[in-house]
Amino acid sequence: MRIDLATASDAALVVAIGRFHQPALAETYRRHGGAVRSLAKRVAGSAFLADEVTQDVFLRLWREPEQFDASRSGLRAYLVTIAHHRAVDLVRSEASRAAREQRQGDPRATDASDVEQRAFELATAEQVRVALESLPEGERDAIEMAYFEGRTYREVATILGQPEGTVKSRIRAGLKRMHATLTTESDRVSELP
Amino acid sequence: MTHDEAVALLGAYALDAVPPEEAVLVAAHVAECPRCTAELDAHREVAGMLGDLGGEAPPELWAAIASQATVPEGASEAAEALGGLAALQMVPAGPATRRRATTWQRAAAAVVAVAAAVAIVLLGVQVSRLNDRVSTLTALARAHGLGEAVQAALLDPSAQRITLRADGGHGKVVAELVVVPAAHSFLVDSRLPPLPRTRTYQLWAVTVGPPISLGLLGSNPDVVPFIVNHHRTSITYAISVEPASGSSGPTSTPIAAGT
Repeated sequence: MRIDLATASDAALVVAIGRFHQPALAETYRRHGGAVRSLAKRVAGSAFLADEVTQDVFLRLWREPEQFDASRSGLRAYLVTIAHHRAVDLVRSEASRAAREQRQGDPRATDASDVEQRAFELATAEQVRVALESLPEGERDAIEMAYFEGRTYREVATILGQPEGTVKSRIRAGLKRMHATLTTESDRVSELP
Repeated sequence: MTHDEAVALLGAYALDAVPPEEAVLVAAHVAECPRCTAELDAHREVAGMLGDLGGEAPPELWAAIASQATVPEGASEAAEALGGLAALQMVPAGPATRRRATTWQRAAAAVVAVAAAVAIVLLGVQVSRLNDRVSTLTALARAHGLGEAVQAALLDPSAQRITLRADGGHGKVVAELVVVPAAHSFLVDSRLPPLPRTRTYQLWAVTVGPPISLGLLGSNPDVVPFIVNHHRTSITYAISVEPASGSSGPTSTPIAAGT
């Protein structure tokens, strides 16, 4: 049995990246680059912007691997979080926002079934999909529009015609509900022989 | 921003759905509030799962990333000279350092005759920054998956077990290294006594030039990873006691050595 990059843990890869070992970054990209780019493309809405976000994410890991706190999240979740943040920054810029609206036409997010369909197509993890599906409609819509469309809670409130306080509450309540569901599911899986 | 106002925004904040002017206030509150930090971590955990859409990484994009993922100025030459990553923590050695190195080489020679000549290039890599970076990541690896990696290293047929002994390599065993060329190596079975927090153990590779830092081991080492990215066998490994921030060259005689 030989330890190599293909079998190294994510934590070991980050340690190697800390020593400027580019093959470790390549392996990290191989493992997680697809997820990073998929989310970036979903949020930013274009392959060009998704590529830009993906490059930013992995170059940030290369330059600041110590920012990854494994006690708080897994590596993929960390990378996805950075990707989302960066993608949102891009789509909220004036120019790309205009281009995005033009591309999308009317905000299709108002069509709950469409949002739901797209989210479900993209959410590959069965547990996450089930957890999202089980949310009350108002919570689900608010989370999907905020997260997958990169909208602020104020924009979501405007689009849905609801008070801002309601949208804030629904997002928070939905995330709590999903966390409870996913934690229970995770415990159940880990208890299997 | 009050606690209640911040709490109400935590979900949206975790989804990057709070406008920048408010996000700054939420961040400031969270930094001071353990309860909000815990709730935000839970929300972000969900967001991370929600955002994991899978997919294959496009190979063509890697070329663009690789071309920009460069090492700090000077480090690549050092890596090339040593054939690997071990040289990344080198710094320019002035006359004083060279004198220490000479002393060190004599100490190492008592353990084994160093045969292979390695062209060592002294370069201006900022040692303190790199040591901080490596130390942080070492803590990370220790907490996550290190046991598995150590097991793999121990089972690797190409692994060398290096016993480090006190008194110039002739005394009692104080630590053992599992060295796997071009992969993660580990300090294991450390019997090094704890040091004051102002000091650290530092691991060195000694060949024909000045000792090369392989990393800080901390003040109370247990299992610590490091990388020796070459296949030369004529290397003496040594441990010295250094200031907590580490040293670019050893400042004291080795307390343990082995090959």
